[in-house]
Amino acid sequence: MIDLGFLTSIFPYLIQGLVFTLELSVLGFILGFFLGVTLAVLRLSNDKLLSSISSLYIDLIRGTPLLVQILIIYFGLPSLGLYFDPITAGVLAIGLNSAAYQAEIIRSGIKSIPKENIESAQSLGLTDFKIYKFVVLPLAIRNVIPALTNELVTLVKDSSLVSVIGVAELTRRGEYIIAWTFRPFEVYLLVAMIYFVICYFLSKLSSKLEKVLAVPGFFSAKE
Amino acid sequence: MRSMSSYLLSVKNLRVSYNNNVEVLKGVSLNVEKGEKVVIIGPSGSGKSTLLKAIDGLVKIKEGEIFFDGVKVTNDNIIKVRSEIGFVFQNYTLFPHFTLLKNVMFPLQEVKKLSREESEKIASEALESVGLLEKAQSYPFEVSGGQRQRAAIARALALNPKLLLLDEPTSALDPEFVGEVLEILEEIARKGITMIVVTHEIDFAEDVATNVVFIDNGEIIEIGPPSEVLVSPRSERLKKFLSRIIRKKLIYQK
Ligand SMILES: Nc1ncnc2c1ncn2[C@@H]1O[C@H](COP(=O)(O)OP(=O)(O)O)[C@@H](O)[C@H]1O
Ligand SMILES: [Mg+2]
Repeated sequence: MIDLGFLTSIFPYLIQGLVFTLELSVLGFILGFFLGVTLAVLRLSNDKLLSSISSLYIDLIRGTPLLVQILIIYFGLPSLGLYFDPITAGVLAIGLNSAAYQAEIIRSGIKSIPKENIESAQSLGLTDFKIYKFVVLPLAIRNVIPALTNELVTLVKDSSLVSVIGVAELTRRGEYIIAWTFRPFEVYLLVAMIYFVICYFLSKLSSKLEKVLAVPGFFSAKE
Repeated sequence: MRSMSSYLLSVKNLRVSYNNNVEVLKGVSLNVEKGEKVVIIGPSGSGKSTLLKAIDGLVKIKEGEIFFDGVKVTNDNIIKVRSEIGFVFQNYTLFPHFTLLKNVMFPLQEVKKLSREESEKIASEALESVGLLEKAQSYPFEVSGGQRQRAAIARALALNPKLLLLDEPTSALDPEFVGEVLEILEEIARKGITMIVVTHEIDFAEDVATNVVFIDNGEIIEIGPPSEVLVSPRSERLKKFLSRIIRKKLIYQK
């Protein structure tokens, strides 16, 4: 039923699609990270206006499907004179979407920092910017590495949605092969396997990263 | 605005409330001269930590004024004022993701803008002075609570502060580590630094304090030299408070 020779022959073509999948998800993740940090900091700021703009953004993004966001950016924005090639549109959509989720993750990381650590940083005479840069964010991000990796894994999977605007990523290439060969079961199975291996590998990497960045002694301390 | 007073710190009619309703400090006034060692005592929840934080601009002031080194503390100069005041908290004063050495170096580099080499030299000396040089590369949670507090004190001193605030520096410690921290505090007190310490270590207060302040329910109830306040308290509230502390101590020593 499953023809290994066939699978081997389509494998290289699919792997080229994986490059796009990773490009979409990794670049989208990075864009989402920096935007997410910004949104989290704004959301927690004392400035009511900035804080509510950030909340509104997060709610809007989380309350609408990624697929629709992709379609708006690729097909909708041109009517405002903004044109993107499919890959750029995909990275933008994923990044803008992920930013909302990463903002909430990072916000929870910030809130888990002992208040005294922040007061201590303030008491030294550090500016707010330096407090965030050197104390708050390094501690917050350590606290949420598993959640952030989880988000990256989600993006790897969700990047398959970008196939609708014609990016020849992993899923799209699978569909091409099926159109040529009419063998959906084997092809989709192989596509799924490739996603799984990547996501599995990323989760393992996360535990490693968590260990490397762990604050020595912090979790064994009782006080 | 310069005031003519000779006080290093002057707190005038300070009122603080966290949630706009209940006042946690109800008009506190306190003057501290250069070189003075003020010990603040009072029941839990009486506003001691809030007072120290207000002095360092860490809580919002509802009413009143604070003068530091002759200058009124405002939002515009608070960063500078903070860089001249050392603050040691009960816990978590050190940054857990920095080694002890980095903890001490970091504000020298980022606040005092000293070079890396110079910061490292000063930081090493500061750690050595509290007997922690060999722990320089350890992280805060790899050392004992007493060593953590000693390092926190070293960090504050390395910045050469005009005023040192300590908020129950030994309260979170296992009893066996209290002595080593108090010893260091006594040593630096002898060197003439101005300090305000919130503590329930009555012996320390007797040895070191030039003035003892008793706060209850957001108000200063008694203030004076330890020989008066600790030995012959006037108010019922202070009498009760002291007898409670002394009883606790006797029970513990058994
Ligand atoms: N961040 C805060 N928000 C609201 N209430 C607070 C906060 N910090 C302290 N309080 C309240 O203020 C009062 C005084 O607290 P605090 O200054 O910590 O007292 P102390 O240090 O004497 O134990 C307490 O009733 C406490 O519950
Ligand atoms: Mg307190």
